[in-house]
Amino acid sequence: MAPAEQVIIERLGLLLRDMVVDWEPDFDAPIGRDTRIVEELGFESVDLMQLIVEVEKAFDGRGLPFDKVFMADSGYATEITVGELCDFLSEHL
Amino acid sequence: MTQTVLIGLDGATFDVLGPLIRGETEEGVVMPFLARFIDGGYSAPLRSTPNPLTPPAWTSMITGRNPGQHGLYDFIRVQDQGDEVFFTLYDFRDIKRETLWSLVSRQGKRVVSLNFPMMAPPPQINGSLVPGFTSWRHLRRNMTPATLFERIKCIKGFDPKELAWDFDRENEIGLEMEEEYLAQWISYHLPREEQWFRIAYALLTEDRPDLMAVMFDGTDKIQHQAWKYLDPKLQPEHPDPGHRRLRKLALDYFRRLDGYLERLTEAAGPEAQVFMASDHGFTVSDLVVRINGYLGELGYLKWREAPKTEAEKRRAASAFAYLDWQRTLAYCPTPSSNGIIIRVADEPGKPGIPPAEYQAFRAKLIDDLYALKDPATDKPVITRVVTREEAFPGDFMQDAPDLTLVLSDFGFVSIRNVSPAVVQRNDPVGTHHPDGIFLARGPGIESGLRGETQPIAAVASTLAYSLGLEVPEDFEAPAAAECFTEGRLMTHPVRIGAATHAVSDGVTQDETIPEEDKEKILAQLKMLGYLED
Repeated sequence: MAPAEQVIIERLGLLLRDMVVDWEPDFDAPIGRDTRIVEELGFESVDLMQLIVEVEKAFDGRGLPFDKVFMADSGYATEITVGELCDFLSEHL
Repeated sequence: MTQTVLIGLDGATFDVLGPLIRGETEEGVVMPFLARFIDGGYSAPLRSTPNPLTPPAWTSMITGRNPGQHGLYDFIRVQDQGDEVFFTLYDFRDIKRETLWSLVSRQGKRVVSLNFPMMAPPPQINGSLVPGFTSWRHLRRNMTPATLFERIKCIKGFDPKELAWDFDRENEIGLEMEEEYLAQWISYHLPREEQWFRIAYALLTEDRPDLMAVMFDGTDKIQHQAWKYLDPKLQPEHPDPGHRRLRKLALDYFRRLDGYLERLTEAAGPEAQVFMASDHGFTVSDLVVRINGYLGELGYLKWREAPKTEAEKRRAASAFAYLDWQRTLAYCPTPSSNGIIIRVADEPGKPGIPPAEYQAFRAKLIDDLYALKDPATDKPVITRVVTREEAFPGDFMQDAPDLTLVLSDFGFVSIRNVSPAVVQRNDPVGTHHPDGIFLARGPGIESGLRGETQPIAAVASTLAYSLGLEVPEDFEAPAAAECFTEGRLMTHPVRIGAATHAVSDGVTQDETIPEEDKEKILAQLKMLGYLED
């Protein structure tokens, strides 16, 4: 059974905060549903690939169809919010 | 005490190193230490994987298995979902066989592994591991042990941005560069190797691991872009100042590298056996072969409509095929793959050919590929088309491209939507050659011996032997016994032992059975009459 939505959001928030600590984005607000991963946290396509790996590890989600949330037009999505990622995990875990 | 050192030199070739160690250039001897190393040790060509490429080749070197057994074929994994095809990076969890690091660790020996590709997310080993090909933004989270970043941060001059892989810069390989930009591009790799050297030196001298392994990859990058300044056959009689400047910069890299090799070898101590190996060699490429353009002309694939949005334009310009997936039957996914994927429809109505037509379709495609000629010479540009069952026999062959191409100049194909399909390059560039290098020196190793070509899988067996371990029975190549002295082999015969352990999702499975379970199994066997009291 998938963890509750709030639990997923909190875990994603901790994960994302730890990932970006080394590149210090100009974003110090709390990470929540509406946080934009590309625009606000500064993720580039290579970082999105790493995010998939980290989410797979954190949620035991190896093999989930991440393309549904991370891909668009055969490439990496140009934007994704924490809420969209949370909804994807709620549906597929 | 460090018994065994492996220094990886990505793409190193005797064709470039030879003149630099023999002093056959106007610069004299550029790599004096390597010259002494080879004179006093063993050297042989090392035959790479069928597609001589960094991820499959290094993985073969450290698993002792061909790609059909370890499961890695390229940088990129292709996920065909019928209406759409997605491309994602291979990572450590895709390696289906046990690595040397794991084999050595579980036998109680300590390992340091630095800058080897496909090592993230990092496996747990008995020692330290820093993966290669990882952005500085993710280095801290991808080391073993988890505290290692804090430790190496204390090494004088440590700079993760200098150390780590710069994806944008590496994606420029193959592009034509102006002199000034190429000079910057070469210079970027000098401090980067210095960073890896410093970490290697610190961990070697402080930890004294049984197996010390570090890979330097500037050799590959610089040879790709600066080949015409390095290839002895391409040096002009009267080079202009720009040529002299870029050659000097490229040779500075090799001069510094020689210093790193010397200091690491000295630091390992006189009792250590030191091995150097490259994942593939290098040679010159003078052709551009636009393989998807050719397949498009023949109707095997259909291009997507011209990109309109910025995102579409970026995607179309990327290193992954950008095609009309509804109407594509065969295509090359990435330039580095040199492979052709045939799409087989898993059910009627889905894109691809019917399964029953596969053999005939493939045979015709092979004929068509051999028919591609260079209009300038009228000679075929594809010299070998290898089926996956020939190239990659093994449990994971189904993930390999259906066909692997060997071009007449050993170059990599282009997948761009540009005509014509074959043109001469304006400037020759460096490309991968199947034959790399394998060197060894130390106690018990032959002196001054030039050996026979070794398969890349032999490196893992040879290192296991050097470490005093049994060579697993499922390693594909025997240890390179010819590199060791007769006396050494008499006192330390090569021992073949149990197979490697199974791997699941990057984790080596513990195959030791707890004592209490063993007793239960024995009791059951007795009860069933298989064993006597």
